[in-house]
Amino acid sequence: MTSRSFNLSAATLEELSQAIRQLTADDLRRLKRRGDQLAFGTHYAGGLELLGEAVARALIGASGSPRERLRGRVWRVEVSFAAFLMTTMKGLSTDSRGSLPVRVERRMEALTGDDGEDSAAMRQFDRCHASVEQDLVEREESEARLGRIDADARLIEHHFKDDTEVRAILEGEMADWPAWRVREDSGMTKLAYDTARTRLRRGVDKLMPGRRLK
Amino acid sequence: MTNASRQTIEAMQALAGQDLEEAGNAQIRGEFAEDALDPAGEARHVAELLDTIVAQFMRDRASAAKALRAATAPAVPLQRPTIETMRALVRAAFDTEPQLAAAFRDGKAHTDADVQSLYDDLVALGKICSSRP
Repeated sequence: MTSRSFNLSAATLEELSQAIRQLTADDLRRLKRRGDQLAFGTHYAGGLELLGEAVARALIGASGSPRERLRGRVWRVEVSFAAFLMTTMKGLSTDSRGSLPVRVERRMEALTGDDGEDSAAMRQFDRCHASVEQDLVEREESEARLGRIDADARLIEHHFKDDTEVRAILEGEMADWPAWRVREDSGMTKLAYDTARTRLRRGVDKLMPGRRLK
Repeated sequence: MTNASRQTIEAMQALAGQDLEEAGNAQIRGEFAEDALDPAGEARHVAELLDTIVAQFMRDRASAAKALRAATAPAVPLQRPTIETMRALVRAAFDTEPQLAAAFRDGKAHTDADVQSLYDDLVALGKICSSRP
């Protein structure tokens, strides 16, 4: 039932259940905090909901038919389970914020056969049409998604509006600058940079849960 | 606006993620306490949530297997061993895989009907071989 035929290193359901039980208290606290960070801009209410979804996807990934496994996330036993959950939460977070490639990928998943195989023709974006109804639903979802992203970004900006160092490291990250360039440009010492980054993380911690309700 | 908003959120997530990665376990524990949250209680709460998700998944899987069996099995009664044997087989399955106990035991003593249903579910999940006496 939980054979390894799909992938040699993919965890069985038993191995996955055991790995979940073996997460330490430190792992669990860290996962919750990371979940809270990654829930920003998504439809997830908070880190716990996002973490729960990551675990649910892992369970699906460890069981069922190849088609079911496509909806899930496969944990390979040689990868640290906590690290796998972090990566899965990040993927779900990106997915929830949405983008055209993600939507096309989802449609392709829906169109694949039970063996999980798709056709070369389906890989062309212009052949991956939705119905008119689906387009309307997607448009509504898209508006809600954009509203969430804007609301959460405004909240972060507002929270740090008087912290010039945090604003500088955020802007540097957005410009894809390395840390040394941010420090040089804003005249921050390494200690000041590291402290500002922790201030950013801790500020974000305090905005959760319920960041949009305030 | 949204592209800029997306960039703000992703920049925050990258920076905060790096900082969390570099923070020690003791520091994170301390931060929970600083936020007036019991670190042990918070970890327990997360563990309980994950247990609930696993248990629900196992139950859903058993229900789906049962429904499939009902839809596809010939209309002959399932050959079951005696209630004592079924109890022993269920107990052995729970001992071998504690997550099954978490998913199905539900913290209560089982009637004969419960044991029979549990036996059927565990056979459907392949945890008990139905050919055993």
